[in-house]
Amino acid sequence: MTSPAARAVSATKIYGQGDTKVTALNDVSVDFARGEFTAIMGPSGSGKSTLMHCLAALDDLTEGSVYLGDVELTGMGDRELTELRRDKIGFIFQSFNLIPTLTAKENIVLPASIAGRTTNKEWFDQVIGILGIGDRLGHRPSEMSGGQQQRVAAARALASRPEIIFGDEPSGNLDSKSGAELLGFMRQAVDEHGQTIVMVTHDAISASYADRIVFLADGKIVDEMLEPTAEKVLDRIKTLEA
Amino acid sequence: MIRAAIRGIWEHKLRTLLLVLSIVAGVSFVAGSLIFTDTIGGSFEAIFDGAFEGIDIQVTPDVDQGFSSVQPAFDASVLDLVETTPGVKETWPAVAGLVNLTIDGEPVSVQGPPNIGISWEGDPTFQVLEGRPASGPTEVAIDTVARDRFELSVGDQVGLAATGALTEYTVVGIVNGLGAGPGFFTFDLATATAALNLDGLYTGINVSVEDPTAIEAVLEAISNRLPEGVVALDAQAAAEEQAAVLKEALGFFQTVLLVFAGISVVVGVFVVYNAFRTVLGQRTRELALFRVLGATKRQVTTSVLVEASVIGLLSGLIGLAGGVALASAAKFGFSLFGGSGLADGGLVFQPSTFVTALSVGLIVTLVSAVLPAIRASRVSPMAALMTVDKPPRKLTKQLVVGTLFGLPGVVLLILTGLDRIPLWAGAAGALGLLLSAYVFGAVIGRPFIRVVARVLGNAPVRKIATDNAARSPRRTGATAGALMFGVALVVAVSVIVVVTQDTATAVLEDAIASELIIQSSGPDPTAGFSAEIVPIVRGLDTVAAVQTTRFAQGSLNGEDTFFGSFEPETVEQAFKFAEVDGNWADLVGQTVAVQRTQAEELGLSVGDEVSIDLGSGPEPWKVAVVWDYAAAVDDTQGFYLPTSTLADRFPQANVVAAYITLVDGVDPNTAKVSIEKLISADYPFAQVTTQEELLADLQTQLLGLLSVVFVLLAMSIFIALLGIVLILLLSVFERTRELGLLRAIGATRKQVRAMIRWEAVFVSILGALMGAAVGTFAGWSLAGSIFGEGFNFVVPWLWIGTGLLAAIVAGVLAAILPARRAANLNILEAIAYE
Repeated sequence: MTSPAARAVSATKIYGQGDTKVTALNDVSVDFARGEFTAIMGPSGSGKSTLMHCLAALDDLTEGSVYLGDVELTGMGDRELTELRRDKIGFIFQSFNLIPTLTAKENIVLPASIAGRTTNKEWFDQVIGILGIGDRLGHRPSEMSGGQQQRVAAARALASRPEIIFGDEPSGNLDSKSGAELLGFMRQAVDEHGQTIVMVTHDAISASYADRIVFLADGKIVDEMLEPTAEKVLDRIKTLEA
Repeated sequence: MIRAAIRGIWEHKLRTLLLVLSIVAGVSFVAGSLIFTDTIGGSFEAIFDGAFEGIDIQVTPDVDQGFSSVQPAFDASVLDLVETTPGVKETWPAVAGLVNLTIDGEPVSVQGPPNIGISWEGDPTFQVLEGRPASGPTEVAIDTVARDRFELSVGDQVGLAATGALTEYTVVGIVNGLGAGPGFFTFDLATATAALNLDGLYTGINVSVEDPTAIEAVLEAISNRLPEGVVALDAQAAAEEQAAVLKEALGFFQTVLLVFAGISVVVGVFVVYNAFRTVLGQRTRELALFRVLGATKRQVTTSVLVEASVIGLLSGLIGLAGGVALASAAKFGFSLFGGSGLADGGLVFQPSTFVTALSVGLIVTLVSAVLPAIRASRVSPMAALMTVDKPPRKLTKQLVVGTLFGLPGVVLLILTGLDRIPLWAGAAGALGLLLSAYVFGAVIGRPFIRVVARVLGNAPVRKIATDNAARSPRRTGATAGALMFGVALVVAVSVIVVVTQDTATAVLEDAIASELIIQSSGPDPTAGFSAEIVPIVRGLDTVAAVQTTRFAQGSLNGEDTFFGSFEPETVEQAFKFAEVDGNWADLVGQTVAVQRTQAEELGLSVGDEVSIDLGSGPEPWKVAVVWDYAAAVDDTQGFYLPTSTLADRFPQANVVAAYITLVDGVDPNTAKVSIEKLISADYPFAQVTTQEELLADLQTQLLGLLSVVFVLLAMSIFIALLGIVLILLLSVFERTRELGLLRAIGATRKQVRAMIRWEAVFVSILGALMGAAVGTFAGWSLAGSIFGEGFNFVVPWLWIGTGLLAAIVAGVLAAILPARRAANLNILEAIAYE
């Protein structure tokens, strides 16, 4: 068994000091296996976004450590973290994923071109094919629908073959049909190409696309679920909130 | 709404500060000019109130002379006529002329007003403050201006030279003169007469009358007795006239300050307008929300104008402080140019200055804000609910307005360049073209930046920078346009300088045959140097010919003009002529040589008679020669008299230039050294120069002039830079989420900084190139107007290159702060930003 794609060890994140002190993550340890599609769920303020930000080298921990593959992120400088995000991580945010002045194609190859590399043509074509945005490559974000924009964002995340893709409510702003399509593509990337994906969501249907769900509440992992369905997830949420 | 406006100012302190700074410079120039004028004006009245007490009437030559020209003289017999006029109580005849000064053997050659040598034996012209009047051939009493300017005191030794060799004098007294303008060196009458070579002549007679109430009558009686060319004046009127001469110099300083005030204000207006437009564009949703909540259009406009007013008042207050600093600097500059007596008192600060400065700040800001404010009020309440990107607006308006200003501007400039219309029309044209270019910046900005980007290649972040710079064409055009103003002015001025240099080189190379030229090194070149050196130089066996030129003031056919002089025997060895009508040998006695363009203008040819008045009434003179230099030079001194005739008429006048033609094969530098060895001890003001040195001197002088202009124009460029900083900051603010996204997907801080820097550089290159284009064109036009048709136009590539380089550096500097902001954004906050 190879090492997990990402893992957190006793991750603790505390915001503020004194009276305003908030513990967003409280001694969280979790692994994310390679080639697995994981959803992180939990109510608002549960720390699910914080966990993802820390795993994705966007934020740092107060205590504990985070690994991407075998590389420990804790203690890295801004430059190293930035290059790590560029080369090893893909992102799909809830909205505003694309640079408005660049075309879809330019947005997709942006991480590579920032790094001064060219994107593998074959893989690029394959990604475009999977996501069905071949006819949108010359368009700017303002000329595309929300669903198309999110697919372009997904293409960008996939294009550089990152070790892991983090999604922050990637379908949160989409209608149910576009959302389902997007999640279907993500599922396909995991199944057919072994892509590792970690996605934060509060939507049971979205979460049901994942292989595994990690439930957070009050900064702690409170439960896990494998092979979820929407019904199972909804039931679990009800018990968690009770 | 108003509370929201005030809070907006407080919450955006950096933005407010930059806006305030953009206007401060203009206000400072205005306030400085007012404070300076009040300060100097106040001291003027005080000084001239007490001048010429005890003197009622002055008898002087009837020539409108400043201090710097050769003082004409009249025959000593005039004194008898004045003395014997009924009602005259006392008379004090005097001689005066320009002198040059050495201190510790070193010639004092500061630029500025000249030094006047004058006879004085204790009459009321001056009052002794310290010591006593000069008496005898080695004593001098100096006025307070000379004392302060040259830091002299009683007991000091000074060397003075008028028409003869340098002589040492001891300062024996300090007297109270005009307190401003030229420095006075007073000798007893015999000493001054000898030094100035005015034997049997006077340059003025001071008169007091028996009955002070009857000055008018005595004045008339004297006037009736005076020969032609001599007039009697009321002494108080004469004092006022001298004050007027000095006030002209003051007016010059004020004009300079006001011109720069105007430039700074214009650039400031553009910067503030652009910033307000951008800020309000960004606040569309917030303003729409106000409208949803029931605010009227008027309330929206008012809130914007309140914000503008606060900024304007702040600028006014800070500008006042800047004005005080500028006024001090101007006062110092003025003291160098002859107002040392005026620079003693403190600055005069009138309440009206306070009001004006605040008004300028307020009005400038409100004018800049009013259009954006009106546009802001038109925001539909619906805009609060929608987040759709606005489609790019057509630039038709820009095209129309740009053409409307640009076309007449170009036509006016061309006509001015061809010397068909006066200079002020060209200035209006230049302004029109600048405004047009400012508006057109929006139209050409996008394609221009794309081209530049293509030239540089599309490195990853540079591509984004290019797109960003091209994203809001009007914003980019306006930002670059503000920079364009300063660059255009610098380039236009440098065109004049380069053309002047070029013309001067042509004159020296194509019109002057002499290898060496002697000129005066004193503060006033027309003070010249002693004619005694001419025979000394002629005596050298390396010298083939010496040609001397003197100057005189007078009128030709009723028109005031300067006269130069030629020596017919050597003129052809000294100068290169193209076409000469008549014979140089005929240029003797009462004859004149006329330069061809002047002759054509007046319809003169050889043998014609003209009427020339050299101060003693009009006389008939004959045109002996009509000539042309070999170089295409428009000689402004188009009339030349025989040197010998001028020497007879004005024995007190020095030689102003000597052209030395060397024997073939003699090295000019060697000859120069041997001439210097002969004359430098006794005649330190006769400066021997080679042609190369003369050119180098000219260059130094022009550069000196340029540097002053550049320093002042740098102010407008600085304001434009503030504009770039402001707009970049606003853009960074506007693109917070984009920047956050870029950082999240792996752009390093360095790359983000580079991106902002490139954007700034694109904008500044755009501004610099527009400025260079407009400036070169305006410079051509200006040069055409100054130098006349057929001048040799030179593009100041060196200056344009320097300007471009400076613009790039400026862009990089302007980007520092915004780039740092952009690079240091917190990624998570930036992504979540709305």
